Amino acid sequence: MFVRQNIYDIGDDWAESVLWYARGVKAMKTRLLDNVTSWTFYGAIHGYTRWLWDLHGITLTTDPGPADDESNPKYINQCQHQSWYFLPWHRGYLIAFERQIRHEIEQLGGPHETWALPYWNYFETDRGLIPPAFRSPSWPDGAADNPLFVEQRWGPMSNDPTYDLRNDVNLNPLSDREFSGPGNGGSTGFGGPRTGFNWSRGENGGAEWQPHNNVHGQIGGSHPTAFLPYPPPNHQIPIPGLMSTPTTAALDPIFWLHHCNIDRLWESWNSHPPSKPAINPNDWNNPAGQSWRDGPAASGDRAFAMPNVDGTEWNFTPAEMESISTLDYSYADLTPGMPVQSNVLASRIANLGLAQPAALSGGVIMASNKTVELLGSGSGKVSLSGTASKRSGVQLDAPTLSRLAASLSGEAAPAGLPDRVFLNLENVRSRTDTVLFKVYIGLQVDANPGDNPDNLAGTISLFGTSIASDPSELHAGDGITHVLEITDIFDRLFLNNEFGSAEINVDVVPVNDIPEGEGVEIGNISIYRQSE
Amino acid sequence: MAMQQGYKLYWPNTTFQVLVFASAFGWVLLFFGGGPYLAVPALCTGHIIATLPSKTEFEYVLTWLSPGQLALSWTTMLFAMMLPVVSGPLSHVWAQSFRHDRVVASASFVLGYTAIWVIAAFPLIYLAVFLRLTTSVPYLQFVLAIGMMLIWQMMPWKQYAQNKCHSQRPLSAFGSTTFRSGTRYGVTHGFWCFTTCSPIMLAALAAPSHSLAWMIAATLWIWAERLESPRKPMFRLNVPLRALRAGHYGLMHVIMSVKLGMVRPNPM
Repeated sequence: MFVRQNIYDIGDDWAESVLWYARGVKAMKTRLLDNVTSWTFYGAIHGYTRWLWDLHGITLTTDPGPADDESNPKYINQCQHQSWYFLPWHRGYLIAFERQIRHEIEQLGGPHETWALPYWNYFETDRGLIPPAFRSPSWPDGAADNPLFVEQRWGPMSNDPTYDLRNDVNLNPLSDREFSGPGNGGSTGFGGPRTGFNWSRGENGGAEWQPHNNVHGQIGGSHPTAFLPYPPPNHQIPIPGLMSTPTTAALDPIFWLHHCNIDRLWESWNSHPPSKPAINPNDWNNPAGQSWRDGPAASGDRAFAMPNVDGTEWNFTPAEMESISTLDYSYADLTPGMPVQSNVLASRIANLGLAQPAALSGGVIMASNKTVELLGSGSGKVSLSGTASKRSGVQLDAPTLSRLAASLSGEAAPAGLPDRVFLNLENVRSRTDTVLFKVYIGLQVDANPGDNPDNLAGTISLFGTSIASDPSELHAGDGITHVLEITDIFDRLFLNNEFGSAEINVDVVPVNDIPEGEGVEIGNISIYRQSE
Repeated sequence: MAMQQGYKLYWPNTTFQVLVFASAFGWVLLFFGGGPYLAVPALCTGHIIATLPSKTEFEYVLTWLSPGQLALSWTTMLFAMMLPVVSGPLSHVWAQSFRHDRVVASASFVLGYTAIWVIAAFPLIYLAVFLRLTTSVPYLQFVLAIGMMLIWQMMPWKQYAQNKCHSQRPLSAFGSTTFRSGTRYGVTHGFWCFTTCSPIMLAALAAPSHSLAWMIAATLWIWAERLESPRKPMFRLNVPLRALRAGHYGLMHVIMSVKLGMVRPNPM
């Protein structure tokens, strides 16, 4: 069985495993885009915008390759985002790529029987910066064409040793017991909302948001001074780093190590630690239904397809991606990397002074019967630019608030679970993906967001948003909706008797300067209660 | 908030089931509703249009069909054909409304959507009549309408409009804005729906015979088309095959299920 190791634990900066990875990447890069086993073709499987590739010098305008359309519908523009297929599709993608690199290593006479992709656990102390072999333009022998080095990395995780990613990135979604929540404003679960074949539109799932999206943005960043040259009005848009946007992300060799870590976190969510408390039968399990297990092909949509090393086609389903031992690999360590509260429900129920459900102490597992309803709504569009924070009021509906209060006090269903609450940033649209902002909720009129970390609902990266906002792409251009759990904040408001207010403040605080031309806007801000 | 994207609206849910039931009721009326009121669908379905000998005859027909009857019959046909395809937008309206406003919000969406299609009836019917009265060769008006439909099927703007049918933008949730917002969404959705489907409707209206059969064919085409995932707008002949692929997959699944012990080959 192949073992994927932590890149920071496998030896020096240029350990054998890293060196062979670089040699494999170099071999793939010798082939052009019209070859399905080339480096660039693998990048196009994830996402493909030819003019951006030409701009970055990834391809020449004269290079052969698929046109920027659907002329190669088997493979191109396939990455699954804002979907419950996000995790299984990327697992299959990693496996196909790993087999290709292993094949290159075999051709070069290297250790193909044992080589496996390493993963990068950026949460570990002093390991938040891209591994040294990826930062050096040269090989260990001084040759200047290190294929792991990419110039277009402008985010703080690429070049700022003082950057503490824990300010912007976390593992909170790992404490969500469900793979796919009810949606409709409620939880999207750890794995993402139920969809068909889905290419950049809709709502983010938990793991896709944190840490996936935010790490992408914080590696890629955007060029500090250069802007996209065309077409207007894009002239004010800084050039995004490769990792910052889905149609170039897989062209950066660090992409594969980042996704190995996401894949590792999925396995960790499934099985680590082995005795995680379950309330419902499906907790910590992948979806059991046929529509997830058989993938989008079951509903007549595109099948998941990767090239084999001989150029033939390999189709796979999510069900085939469930067991990594069946897939013949494992991870050296499944510890997530930073603290994850796996039993938040027990502490929450204790805080609210409610009776502990029997299931939490090994009793009867409860059936799940979730309903979601709108609790509060803002007054429409919120545009963001500059560095100044923006405050909006979300008006709460009194009858719905009463139902929530009844649930939190235990009056509604003494033996039931208390409601959960979710903040929705609806239809976030932007011309760029390289924006990061923080969202606070429930601040008093004169309160400063930075002084109130307990009111932080989440940090949002716009990875994938520019494509999702473009109506000339594979969707209506509605952008992406972010669903953030704010249950703990509402619990606190309830316990502090601050629950009667008709309106609650939501503060959006840009982490970096947002130029006006980037067109960043939130369609509306709303709040939902989800009964359990 | 895009909680129920259009492409997944056909998964059985309560909204969908209610709409299918209402649609089926509309079809029953169209099939069996004879007499003075449901003589009107005959106009809508092209039966009268196809047999018009002259403009005068058409004007005569309109003298005994009141505007109310026309609107009623057109709406009956609209509900029969279109209700299942608004399942996604209606689920969106439902999710974006407070519990006590859900019915009003949904009704306002239906009102806006229906209004667009009722207004659209005038140019569509008159265009069908125009084609009939300006073509002397039998069936030529139908061939022309089919030709227009096929040309439109290949246009990137058609795909753009079809993608827009999956659009789910934020709605207002308080007081009278709920009604206004729902109506506006219904109007917008109706506009994109009309833009996408009107050439298909025109072809059904221009059918010289077997009008209901052509209506059913147009309906199945529209349903299949709305089932398609959004695609990049470009020149191509858009044929909605996803429903057939799903049906084929389902059939294969059933066949495999009865063959005990049969498993999917290991991908490795």
